[in-house]
Amino acid sequence: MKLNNYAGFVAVGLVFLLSEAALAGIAGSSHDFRGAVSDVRTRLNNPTEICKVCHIPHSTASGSYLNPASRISAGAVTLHGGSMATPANSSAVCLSCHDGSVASRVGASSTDYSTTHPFLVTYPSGAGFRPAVGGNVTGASGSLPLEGAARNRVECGTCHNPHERGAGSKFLRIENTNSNLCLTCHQK
Amino acid sequence: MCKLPQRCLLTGLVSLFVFSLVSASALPTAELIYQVGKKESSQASVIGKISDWLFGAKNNEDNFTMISGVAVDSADNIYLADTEKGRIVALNPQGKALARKDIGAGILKSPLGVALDRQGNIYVTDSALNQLLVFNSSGDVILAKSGADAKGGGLLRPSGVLVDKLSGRIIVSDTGNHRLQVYDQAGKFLSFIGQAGTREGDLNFPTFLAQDKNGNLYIVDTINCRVQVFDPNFKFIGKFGNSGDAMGSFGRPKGIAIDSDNRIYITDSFFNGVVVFDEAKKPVLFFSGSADNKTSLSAPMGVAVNSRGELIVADSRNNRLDVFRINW
Ligand code: HEC
Ligand code: HEC
Ligand code: HEC
Ligand code: HEC
Repeated sequence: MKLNNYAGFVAVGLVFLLSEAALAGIAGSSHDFRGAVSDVRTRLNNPTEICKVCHIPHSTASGSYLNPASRISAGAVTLHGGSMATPANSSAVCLSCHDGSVASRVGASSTDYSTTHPFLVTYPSGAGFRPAVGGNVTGASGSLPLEGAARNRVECGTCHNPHERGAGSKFLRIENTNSNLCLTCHQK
Repeated sequence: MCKLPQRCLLTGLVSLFVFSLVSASALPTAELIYQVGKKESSQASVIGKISDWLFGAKNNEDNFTMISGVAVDSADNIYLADTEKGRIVALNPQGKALARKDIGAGILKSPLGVALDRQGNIYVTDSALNQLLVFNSSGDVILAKSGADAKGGGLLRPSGVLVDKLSGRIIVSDTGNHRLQVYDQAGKFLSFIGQAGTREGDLNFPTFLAQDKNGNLYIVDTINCRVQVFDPNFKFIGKFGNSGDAMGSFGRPKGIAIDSDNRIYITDSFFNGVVVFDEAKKPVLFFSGSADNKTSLSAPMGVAVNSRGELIVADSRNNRLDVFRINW
């Protein structure tokens, strides 16, 4: 009983720390959709606030805005050169805005980076790719999390951190100076 | 009120039971009647087989990549924005490509919204060109607008477009600028509607638009997770919906259609489904595919309703149209 309470206390504390970090990372970025509210708890409870655009609140229970991925039903998707994949976790959240309406479109024939890179694909094991260990690919510049139940999928959230806009403001987990992001997975 | 916990539970259970009985009899259902475009990868369903038989294997006409807007004309022909392919495709009411060339091919880069007028002109928003383009029925560009003026009046990622049934005015959702732009039939700028914000009448990335039979304008106020209703003089008269996952709430509301009984259909590209409201704006149904789960919508965008009351849904990330019958 005591142990449970303690665990719960730690979990709440952790979430709160993550929340503060996420807030600082998003504030003022392209993903800051809020009006003028300063207190973090108010933000989490205000429907127009910074987190709720991705963490859609459960209407019956509180606290569930921390789970965007579970709200997405899996569906088939065809993107970038016809690769079939299922948007799970972060990708479906991103693509619900990045469809050309609310935000720039990310797709098969766009003129941006996506023409040169497949996404929503399974991370292979073998020559040319750094091995994935425990669902992460780690190189000299840092670590990238793979997604999905088997933790083997390259999704938007593998290269992008939804909560941290980063130095170059592209929400990259590893800035791509000197191709550092690319070289985290691709081995020459 | 009940004081004993057991009594409370019992009353709760009984009322829950009654509620579900009452609502069950009143709820409409959605039935998938056919699909156009790429079929679900597991092709075992009877519907899949029938539609293959009816429409054949996929050919160029139904080889779509991300469909955004859809519109129907008075003869129930379907016009869809094949966004990635940069074209508007016209289909007959059965979903067969009409014998005509694609509209806007080679011009359009990211067509999102489509609307039609009585003369057969086709109104298209392009969110990469930041333009409203009007094509005549033979596919020539007869109007191209980049917005009100060069001084901050430009369009930014325009999405929804509507031709006012009463006045013929053109209403464009200027999504990235959190407002609508209104033009007369000749393309002369008339006014803005709304500004960035969360108050009544404010907009936060407005997307698709529809008009009810009384001429009221419905704006899907996407990031505010609601629909706002304006009268024919563009005065705010109401709103519904909020952010959440309960019936009638939204994650990412996008497409909107209103049938001849003023029932409202709204797609949600976050929850991958369609929310149906009755004429009193009461939410009565949410569906995310066919009842047998053989088909599930993926990031649905535009939606249109034809004269038979059938719902044509742009199943965007599945690269196809799904046509549903709503059994009221
Ligand atoms: C642009 C969309 C987006 C926004 C805005 C956003 N999140 Fe997230 N968040 C996500 C996604 C996607 C995940 C799931 C990550 C995954 O599955 O890898 C997530 C996961 C989380 C988690 C789980 C732990 C973790 O880091 O994976 C926490 C806690 C969290 N978010 C807090 C917040 C808070 C607090 C805010 C507002 C300050 C916020 N998020 C805003 C998209 C977003
Ligand atoms: C609520 C809507 C929304 C969601 C969800 C969303 N974005 Fe965005 N994003 C925007 C808008 C609006 C912009 C700014 C306009 C644009 O660039 O299209 C933007 C811009 C960006 C940019 C460019 C930033 C810049 O300032 O140059 C990146 C990178 C990005 N988003 C990645 C993502 C990723 C990855 C996800 C999923 C984790 C995501 N977005 C989810 C709305 C969204
Ligand atoms: C393999 C890594 C990788 C994956 C996976 C990935 N991105 Fe990116 N993305 C990048 C890089 C690198 C850039 C920066 C390009 C630049 O700075 O020119 C970028 C830039 C962007 C931009 C900004 C484009 C611009 O022109 O400013 C958006 C928006 C974006 N990504 C969204 C997404 C979304 C949505 C997904 C998932 C569907 C995704 N990305 C998946 C690596 C990735
Ligand atoms: C998270 C790991 C990861 C990162 C980071 C990454 N890639 Fe990849 N890349 C992949 C995977 C996985 C494939 C293979 C997909 C397949 O063939 O199934 C791939 C394939 C490619 C291909 C072959 C494309 C094709 O169509 O066959 C190119 C080119 C490429 N990557 C370039 C880049 C560049 C440039 C960057 C940096 C912006 C980058 N990659 C970052 C995982 C990654």
